[in-house]
Amino acid sequence: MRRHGIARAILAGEFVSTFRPSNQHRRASLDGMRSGGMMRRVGDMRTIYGSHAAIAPFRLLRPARVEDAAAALADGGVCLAGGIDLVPAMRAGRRVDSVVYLGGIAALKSIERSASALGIGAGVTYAQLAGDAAIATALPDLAAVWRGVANVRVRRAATIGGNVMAGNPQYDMLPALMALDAKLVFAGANGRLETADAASASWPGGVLAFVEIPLAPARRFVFERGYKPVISVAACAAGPMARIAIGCAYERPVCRSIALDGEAAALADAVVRDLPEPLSDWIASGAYRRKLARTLIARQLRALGRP
Amino acid sequence: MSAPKSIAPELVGIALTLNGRPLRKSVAPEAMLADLLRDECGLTGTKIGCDQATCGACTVLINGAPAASCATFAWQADGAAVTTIEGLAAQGALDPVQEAFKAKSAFQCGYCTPGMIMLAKALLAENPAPDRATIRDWLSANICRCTGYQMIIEAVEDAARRMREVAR
Repeated sequence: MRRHGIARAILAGEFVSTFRPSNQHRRASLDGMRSGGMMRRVGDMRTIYGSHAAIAPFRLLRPARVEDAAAALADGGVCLAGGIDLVPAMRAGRRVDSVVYLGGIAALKSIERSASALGIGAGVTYAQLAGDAAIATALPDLAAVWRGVANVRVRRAATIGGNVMAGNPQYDMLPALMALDAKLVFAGANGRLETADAASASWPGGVLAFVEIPLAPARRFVFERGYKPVISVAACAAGPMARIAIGCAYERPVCRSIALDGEAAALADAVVRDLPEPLSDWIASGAYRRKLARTLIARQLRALGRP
Repeated sequence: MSAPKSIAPELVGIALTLNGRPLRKSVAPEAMLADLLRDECGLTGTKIGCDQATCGACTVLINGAPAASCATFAWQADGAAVTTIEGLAAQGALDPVQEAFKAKSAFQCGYCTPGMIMLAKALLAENPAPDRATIRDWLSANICRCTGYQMIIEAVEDAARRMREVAR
């Protein structure tokens, strides 16, 4: 079916494969990227396939301090840590005047444990999240889940902060942090730190410096990622309460806190009734997402020990 | 507050160690590591397959960690040690991983092989005796359209054996 679609498009002349001067083939549209397809309507072959040759020139800033990065960000720069999100976007035509490279800021790579919380720097990679001894001791479920996210090469480049700040509803870090009731700590150009709940509707500006995950004994965390891109469900239980975060189904992940005072199916019903209407798009209808949410939330609650 | 360290709008000066030798270059901010290696340094062993950081044919090691050189800007290797497939047999003798790929016929068209070997090098440096599940997990980062992977997995097991024998 997909092949027919492409063939039809080529016959209709929608894909232009002649060579164009470099300034034109660099002008691929952001819309093309958002549509998620490898093919875009206009450009030479390099542009059609989103080649790295299509990346437009940019200015590079390599601050050594987080407040300098925040100043550059306020100046219109775009942050790059591992480049897992930004580089494909640039390849697909996103124009960036100034790239602010965060990889040289040592302060963003710290992992600190206090009695009540684990502070993880925004520049900590997925590989560290999956393999660091302090994280594995404090949050073994989270570390175990992240051992299976992406591949070994991506895990070594992808950062916690990059995933959160990319703002892509398909991504995993924000629903996980919402379910874990984490706080996000942002650094401004003046060096001041501002905190927001991961689950809150708006965050302060600046550079995400670190995330703070509260620790509780016998806390369990589960994350169903196998139904992406339709839906993902992260759930965390501590004592009589649980937090459930839904990814992929909204413009931004949605989180609900519930008391664990009933059977899994009834609790899931109540959560789903309380959720806004999920997205209907080319991936799935809102009705299907809602149905899947009920099933997966109940399954996660059972995994967390509800009857 | 000092101004951010700015090296732009034109070229970025970088200094790295490439296959054990120092390299200094001025690169455009948008220049990719794969192009620096292939076009500037003539090291065409690193292949560009998908150009989407997905297939892994362009895998090189940056400070020992596997990285997709088609999606890594050249300046991201500034100050690092970069190893490409050409760096493995520098003294003339093949690396044990290369020997193992040869012995197990772990390639057909060969286009994915440099990336596979670099990935295997990184794995065996981190874990000299990986079990099959670990090998599969690592190799799932790279794509081979010819072999069906079985011989590649066997080659990595064989390479691990060879490297342990050398170490003994």
